[in-house]
Amino acid sequence: MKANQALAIGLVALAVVFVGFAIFYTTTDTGLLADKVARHYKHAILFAGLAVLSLVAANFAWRRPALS
Amino acid sequence: MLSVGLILFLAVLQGATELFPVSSLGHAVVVPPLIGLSFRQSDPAFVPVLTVLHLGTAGALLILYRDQWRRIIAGFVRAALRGRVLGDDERLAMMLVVGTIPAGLVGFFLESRLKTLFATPRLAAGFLIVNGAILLAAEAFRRRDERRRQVAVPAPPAHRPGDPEYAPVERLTLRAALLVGFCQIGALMPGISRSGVTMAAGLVAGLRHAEAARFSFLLATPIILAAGLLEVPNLGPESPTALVATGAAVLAGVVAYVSARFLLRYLRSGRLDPFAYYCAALGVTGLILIH
Repeated sequence: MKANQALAIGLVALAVVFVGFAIFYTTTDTGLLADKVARHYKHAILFAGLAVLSLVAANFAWRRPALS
Repeated sequence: MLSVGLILFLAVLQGATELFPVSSLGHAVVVPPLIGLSFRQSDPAFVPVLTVLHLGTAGALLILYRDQWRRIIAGFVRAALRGRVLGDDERLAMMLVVGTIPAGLVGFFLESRLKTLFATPRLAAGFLIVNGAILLAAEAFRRRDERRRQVAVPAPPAHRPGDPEYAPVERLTLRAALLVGFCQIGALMPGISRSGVTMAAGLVAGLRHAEAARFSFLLATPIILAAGLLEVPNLGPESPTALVATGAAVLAGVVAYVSARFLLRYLRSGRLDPFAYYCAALGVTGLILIH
């Protein structure tokens, strides 16, 4: 597997993790990375945005000419 | 509860200082005690007021660069789907994304804690002096670079309108955009200006003065807009009435628009030194007079 493709797959995996965090913050009262225990919709929006950016970065990595 | 007069005063202060390289938060912390206003940032009405003022400032920036933002958003979508960057708009879009992520993330998770730790008038006054030093250092670096280039290619030594030897924003590298973005993190300290550090970093990266300001404003827009929009759901009974909020947002927006137009015009041939001296003077005054 080429290095760019491995990077792209890693970024997709990262996007999945971010989606998981977004769902977690939408559905759970938590104080993780927050000031108080509550539903943190702002955190969910942030992680959803990061997931989109990770997918965009994965698309760039996948289509980039191979480094090796 | 903040009075209407105080809210409108904060609107003018926010609109004028958010885009000038002089730190709006530093001013909001240092100026009220200097002029004898009995106002505390812990007032429950302060965050809602700040929210509407941010929305006003972001609105002014969106209006100022409305055509560019249309092209930037379209460029981002095209480049993201294609997986390749072609053309200046797509390149600028990617630079703004890369430059926004560092300060966006750090600000999201740490801003309130940093403000709690550092938003004291004397500390903010000290950071205003540091902000002045950053602006002066960037200008000193640029002057030295201009002299060096003059040796290589004979040209008038002064900073001239257009700075033909320096680059527009679209020629910045992604790595430089990322570094400018990291510099924005420093602006979470009250007294360090977001536009100040990004303009200074832009100058060091080789941008023209007016282009460094344009990149700074474009980079500031998503963060200021997000800071305002994300707080809207938290607006509660302490919030100003709809009429006062709208008036304050419009006032902040108008002042910010005029400030940005003035600054872009000034930086076609001017430098950041006057703002540096102003920050240093305000900081020293704050340290002397505020106890």
